Amino acid sequence: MNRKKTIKIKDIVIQIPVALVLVILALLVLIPVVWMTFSAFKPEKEIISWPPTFIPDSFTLQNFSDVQVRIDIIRYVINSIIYAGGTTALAVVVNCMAGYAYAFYDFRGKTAMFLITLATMMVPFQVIMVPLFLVVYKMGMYDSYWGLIIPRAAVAGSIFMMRAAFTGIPKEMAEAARIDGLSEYGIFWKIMMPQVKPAVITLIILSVNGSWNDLLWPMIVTSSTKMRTLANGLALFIGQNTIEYGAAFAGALISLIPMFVLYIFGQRYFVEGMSSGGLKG
Amino acid sequence: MERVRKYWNKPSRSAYVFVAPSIILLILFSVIPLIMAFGLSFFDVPITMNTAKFIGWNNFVEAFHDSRFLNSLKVTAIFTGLEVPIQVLGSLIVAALISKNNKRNKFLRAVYFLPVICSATVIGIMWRMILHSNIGFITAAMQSMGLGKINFMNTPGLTIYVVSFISIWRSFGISAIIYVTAIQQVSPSLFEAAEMDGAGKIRQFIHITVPSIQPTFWYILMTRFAGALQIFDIIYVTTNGGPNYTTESTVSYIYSRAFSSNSSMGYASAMSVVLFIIIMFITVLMYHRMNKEE
Amino acid sequence: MKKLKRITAVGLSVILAASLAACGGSDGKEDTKESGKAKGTTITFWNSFTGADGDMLVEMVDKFNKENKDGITVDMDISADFDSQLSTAFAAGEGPTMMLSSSAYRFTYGDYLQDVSDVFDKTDLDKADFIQSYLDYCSDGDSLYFVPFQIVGYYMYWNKDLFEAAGLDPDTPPATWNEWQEWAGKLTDESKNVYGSGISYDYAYQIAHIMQRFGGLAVTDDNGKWKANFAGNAGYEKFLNMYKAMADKGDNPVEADTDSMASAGQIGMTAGGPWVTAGLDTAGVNYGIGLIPQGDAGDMNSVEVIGFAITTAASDEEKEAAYKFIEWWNTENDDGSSPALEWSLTNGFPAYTYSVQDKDEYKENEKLSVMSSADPEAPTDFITDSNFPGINAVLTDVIPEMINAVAFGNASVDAALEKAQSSADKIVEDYNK
Repeated sequence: MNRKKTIKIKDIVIQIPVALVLVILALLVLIPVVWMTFSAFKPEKEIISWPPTFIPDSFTLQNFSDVQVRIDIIRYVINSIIYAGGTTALAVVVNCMAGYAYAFYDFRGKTAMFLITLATMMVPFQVIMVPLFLVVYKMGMYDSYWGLIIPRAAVAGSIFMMRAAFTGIPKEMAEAARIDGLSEYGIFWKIMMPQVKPAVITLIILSVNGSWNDLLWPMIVTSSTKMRTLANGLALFIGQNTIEYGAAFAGALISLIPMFVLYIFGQRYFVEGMSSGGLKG
Repeated sequence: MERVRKYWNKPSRSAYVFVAPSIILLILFSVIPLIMAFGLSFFDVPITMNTAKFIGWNNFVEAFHDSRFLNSLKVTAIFTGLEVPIQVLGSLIVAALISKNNKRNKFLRAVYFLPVICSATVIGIMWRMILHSNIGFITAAMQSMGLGKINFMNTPGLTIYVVSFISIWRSFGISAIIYVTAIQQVSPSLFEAAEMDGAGKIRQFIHITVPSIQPTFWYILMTRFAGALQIFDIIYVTTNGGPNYTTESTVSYIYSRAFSSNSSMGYASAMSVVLFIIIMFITVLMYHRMNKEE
Repeated sequence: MKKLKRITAVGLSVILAASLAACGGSDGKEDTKESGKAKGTTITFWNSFTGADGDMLVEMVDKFNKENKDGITVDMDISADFDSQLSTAFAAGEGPTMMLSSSAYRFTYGDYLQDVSDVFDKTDLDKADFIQSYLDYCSDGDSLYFVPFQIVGYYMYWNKDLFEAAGLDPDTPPATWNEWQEWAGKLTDESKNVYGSGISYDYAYQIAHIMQRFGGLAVTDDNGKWKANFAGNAGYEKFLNMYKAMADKGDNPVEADTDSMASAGQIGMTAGGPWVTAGLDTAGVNYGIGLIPQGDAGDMNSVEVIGFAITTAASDEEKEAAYKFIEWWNTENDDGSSPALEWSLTNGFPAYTYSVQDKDEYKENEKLSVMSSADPEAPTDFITDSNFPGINAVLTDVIPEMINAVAFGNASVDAALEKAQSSADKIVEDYNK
C-alpha cells in the first residue's frame, strides 16, 4: 500500500486544472445550497426582495420556530424513520441476494428474469400508481406500515447496482470457499457481502434517502394523519397559491441534516471497509 | 431438514432462492400493476376507474396525432441527449479525480453529495428563486457584472438546458460516488504495476480503471438512460413544462393527462406503453452489448 | 403468438378483477349501529389547504374537536397532491368522509359524492341565508354536492409607492384596461427592474379572470348545446393583443412567477386571489386593492366556489357527524362570531351567507368591503358557464396553449384563437353527446 511518493512535473501540470475543475464544481453545488441555508435564517421579507441578498441582512430563527409549531415533527420523524429504515433493511437483503444471483450463477430463465427486472424500471411510477395502490389495498395493507414498506423493497436499479458490484469479484473466491465446505448461503453472507461493503453502503444511503424524501407513496397508501412522514409535513409550507419560503427552507435543512450525517458516517465506514477487507489481486 | 438444505445447496438451485424474493415482490408490486396499466390503454377510463369502455387502438392512434405528445418525445430526446453523456462520462471523470481517500476528496465527495439528499420540491423552489428573471440572486449578480439580463426560466430554447443542468446538478454526485466505490474496489496492485511500467495517470485511467469498472459503467449508463427518458420530477417542480411546452417531457405530459382534473387514464396509459417500448428497445440493445463485453 | 394471447388474457382478467374490486371496494363498511347517533364518531377530512391558511384550518378543527359535545373527532389530512390521493382512494372504494374542493370537482368525481341537500333539514342551517348563485355552483339539477366554504374571486392590486414614483395618484387605480396599459408604460422603470403590469403567461386562472372581462365566457349554453367562443371573439383578440404589446414593449415581464415580483415591490399592477395580500403584507408593500377593471363584456364578478363535500365512503353516522362540523362552521358562538366569519376576516375571502355579510366586523374590513363591492346582480360564472363540465380542460389545456403561443410569438393572435377554438370544440363535442 505505501507507494513511494514520486512527484513528476507532468503530474503538477495535470493537478492544477484538475483542482480548478473540482473547485468550480464544488462552488456550483455550494452556492445554491448556501443561499438556501442563509435564506432559512432570513425573515420572509428579505428572501423575496429587490435587490436580492445573499448573506442575511437581519438574522432570525423565526422560520425554525414556525416549522416546529406548525407540524408534529417528532411523530413525523418517527414515521419517516420507520418507513426509511424498514424499506432499507428489506431492500438490502432482497436486492443484494438478487444482484448476487445474477452476477454469480447461471440458471435457466436468468436472462428473462433479469429483463423482467429491468422492465420494471421503465415505467413511470405515476402510471402504475393507481393499479399498484389497488394491489396493496386488496392485500389488506392500506394505511399500515407494511403497505408503506413492502412494495418499495425490491428495486430494479438496486439489483442492477449490486449485480455490478458482485461482478467485480473474481469467481475463484467462491470456488475456494466451496472447497472449504461453506454452503452457498454461507459463501454469500460470509465471503461475498463483506467484499461489496461500499456498494451496500451506497445502497443503504440511496434507499434511506429515497424513502426519506418520498412524498407521493406515503401519502396515497396511508390515510390517517398519524401515519404522515416528514416529507409530507414539510410539503405543507408549499401552498397551492403561496409559498412560505422561509419555513420551507428551514424545514428542508431540518430534513437534510440526518441524511448528511448518515452520509458522513457511511463514508467513514466504507473507507474502513476498504482498508481491512480490501482485495488482494 | 438436512435433506432440504442439501437439495437447495446446489448452486443451480440456490440461485433461485437468491432471486425469488425480488422476483416475487417485483411481480406483485411492479409487473401486475404494469400489466393492468397497459391493459387500460385499450380503454376509455376516467381518473376514478369506475367505468371502462373498450376502444381498441384509438388511444394509440390519437397519441400519434397529438402534437403535444410528439413534442414531448422530442423534448425527452433532447433532454436524454444532454443528460446521459454528461452523467455517465462526466461523473466518471470526476470520480476518478476524487477516488483516493484523502481529506480533500472526502470533503469534495460530501459536497457533491449534498444535492442528492435534497428533496426535489426544495430543489425546484430554490432554483426557481435564484434564477428568477427579476428578483433572482444569480440573475441579479450576472446583471451587475454586466453580463446582461438572462431570463433562464422563461426562454424557449434556453430553459431546456437550464432544466437539464438542474437535473444533472441534482444527481451527478450519486453517479460519481457509485463510480468511486467501484474504483476503490479495483486492486491497487494493478495501479502499482502500471506505475512501475511508467504509465501516467491518464493512461492508468483508460487502461486500468475503465475496464475494471465496466459493470458499474453499464449500470450507470442503463439506469441513467431509463431515468432520463422518464424525467419528470425536476420538470414538475421547476417549469412544469413551460415556457410554451418546450420543457414538457413525455412523463410530464402523461402525468397531466392522468391526474389533472381533465383526466384520461386510458390515454395516459397508451402514451406510457409507447414510451415503455422505446425504453425497452434501447435497453435490450444495451443489455446484449453489455453481455458481450462482460 | 400463443404466448402473447395468454399474456393478454391474463392481463385483461387482472384488469377485470381490479375493476370489480374497485366497484365492490366500499362494502363491508356498513356499520349496523342505530342511525341518528353521530356521537363519538371519528371522521376523516381531506383537503389541499397547504400554506398558511391551512394552518388556521388546523386550529379551527382542533377547536371543534375540543368544543363539540357529541364527541366527534375530525381527523384532518392536508394533502400536497390532493388529486393523486383522492383518485387512488376512490378507485379502491375508499376515501375521506368529508373533503374540501372546488365545486368543479362534481364533474370529475360526481359518482363518489353524496347528495347533501338534506343538510338544511338535518341541521339548523338556513338555506335562505346562503347566497343562491353560489349554491347553484354546487348543484347538479336538484342534487347539492357542496356546501359553500370559500368564495374565490380575483382582484386588482396596485403598488402605491410605485404609482407615486411614476407621478400617478396612488389612490386611483386604473378604471379601464386602456388606462392599465397606458399606466403600465409609465410605471415601468427599466433601471430598477420595475414592471408596470404583472400578468403571468403561466397562470391560466389569472388570464381567464381577465380575459372574460374582455370577451365574455369561453363556453356558453346555446339552446341546450354547449358552444365555444374563441374564434372571432373580438374581446379575446383585444386582450391578447394588449398582452402581447405590453410584453413586447417591456411593460409586462415574460415571467411565470409574477406573484413573487409583486411581493418584492417590482410590479405596478397585478391581479390575483385574496392570498396575494398575504405575500404583500409580509413584504410590507404599500398597496391598494380594487376590482379588476371592466372590459367590453360588461359587469362581471367571476368566482370559484370551494365547498364541503361528503363522499360515498361515508356511512350515515359519519355523514351526520360531518354535518355537525359544517353546522358548527357556520354557527355563531356567544360572541357573535363564527368560524366562517373568522375565516373570511383572516384570509380575505368574501362571505357566502347574508348573515356574515351583515356583520359589522365584515363591513368594516377594508379588503372585504372592496371584494363585496361588486354588483350583486353581476354574473358570477368563471370563464365558462358554471354548469359546463369541461371547465378544467379549458383551464388546463386550451387557455395555456393559446397564451403561450401568443407570448412566445409562434402564432398570430388570430391563429392562436383559431387553434383554441378547435381544441375547445373537441371538448365541447364530448359533452354535447
